[in-house]
Amino acid sequence: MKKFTAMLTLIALLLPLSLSALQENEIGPVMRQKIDEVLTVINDQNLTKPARNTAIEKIIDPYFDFVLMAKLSLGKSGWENASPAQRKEYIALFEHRIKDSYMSKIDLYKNEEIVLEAPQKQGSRIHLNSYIVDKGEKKEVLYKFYRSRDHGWLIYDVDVLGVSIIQTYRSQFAGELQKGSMELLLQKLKEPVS
Amino acid sequence: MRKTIPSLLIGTWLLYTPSIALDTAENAYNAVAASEDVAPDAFDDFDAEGFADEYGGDPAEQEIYDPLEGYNRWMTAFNDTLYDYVLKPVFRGYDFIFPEPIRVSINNVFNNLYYPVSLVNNLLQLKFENALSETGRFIVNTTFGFGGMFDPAYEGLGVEPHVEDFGQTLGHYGVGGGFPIVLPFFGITNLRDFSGDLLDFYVNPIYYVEPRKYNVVDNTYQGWGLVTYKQVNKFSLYEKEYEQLREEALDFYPLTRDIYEQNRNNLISE
Repeated sequence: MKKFTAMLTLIALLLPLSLSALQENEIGPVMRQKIDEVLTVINDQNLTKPARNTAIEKIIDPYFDFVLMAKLSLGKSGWENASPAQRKEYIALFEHRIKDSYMSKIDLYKNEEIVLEAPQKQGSRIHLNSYIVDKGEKKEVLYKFYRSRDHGWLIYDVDVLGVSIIQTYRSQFAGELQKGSMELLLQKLKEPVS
Repeated sequence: MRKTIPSLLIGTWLLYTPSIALDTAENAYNAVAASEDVAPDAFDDFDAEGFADEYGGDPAEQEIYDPLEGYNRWMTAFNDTLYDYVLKPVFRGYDFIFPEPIRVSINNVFNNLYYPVSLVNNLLQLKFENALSETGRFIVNTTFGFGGMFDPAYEGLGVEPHVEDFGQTLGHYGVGGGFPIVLPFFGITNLRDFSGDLLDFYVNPIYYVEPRKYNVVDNTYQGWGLVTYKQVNKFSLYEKEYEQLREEALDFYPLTRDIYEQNRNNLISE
């Protein structure tokens, strides 16, 4: 029994470290491993779509800071003008939407070989560039990491073909807020993406 | 004591366990609200100030110069209808005759024919190494790649394309985008890139330019026909991407405008 508790303790100690706190020098190898895991899941014919999405979420979740992404997308004044209840709802809807968007995109490129370049330091951030060659053209996806307070390095934005996902959300959300209100934006985010 | 330490540790472990996958926004909402890996003050402070520079200040205060917005929106909607009722049915038949690998090869041929434009613009931007590698790619792909149908220069030799157009050259020397213009059928561009396209005409062999020696077509109509065909063929490769973008957009026109500008700025800065 003592041994068993000791083992549990050890597992408890090690798990959170390996799951959530990504160190600077681990970004390259860990992302390589995670992307390969995602590819294995996508190419597993036996999985239903929901099961597949669940599995992918489990793999990628610890490396994204969805709350920060949501905040950046809304912007400071948009955030400050929202009520606490709206903020909570917004973050949940945002997280759901961005994951949905990711899931539908990986389907398009599942058969491609993904090349990961060496991580580059950009001031206080780290950029990890990856690309595929698809339909005769090189397509780049850039993952941007920042050092979070207590969860190591986390992704806060992804550039696809030089287009920042967060930037596109920012201009879209700002547009909706100008036209209407936070309520309207939340309403729009609730509409299902078919 | 002996009991508290392990239970504390298991507690910490539970805290760190990634939240369970979510199927509906409703569940997501509850889970995020209850989730313990979100710091308790996460909903209070904005605390993302360090990122302000990266995204150019507050989005609410960013203004986009778009004097033709009314027309642009209308034309985007028009093009979208054109896509649904004309292009999409055409793509169905086209895909049947020419499956994707063939269409990719056709697109490659057009990309290869773009070489004179790319060469001139690499030179204008004093990117001599890229001008040289583009020349190498053109020679290898035209010969070993069967007139540009394949890309042995990249696939075999690892020489990547460095395509440049006149819009990029103008941008390279500091010319701003001006304002967005949505063209019928050809879609979104901006004043700078549209002007650049007009210059491209004179160098790109697939247009017809009377005094030039290397026209691949016999007259202006054929030239336009070929340009249209190039565009249709390329679009047919990106149907799914287009539809996804449309579905995900809260408002389609500003999204296309934003993506276009960001993508062009990125190409110019390279």
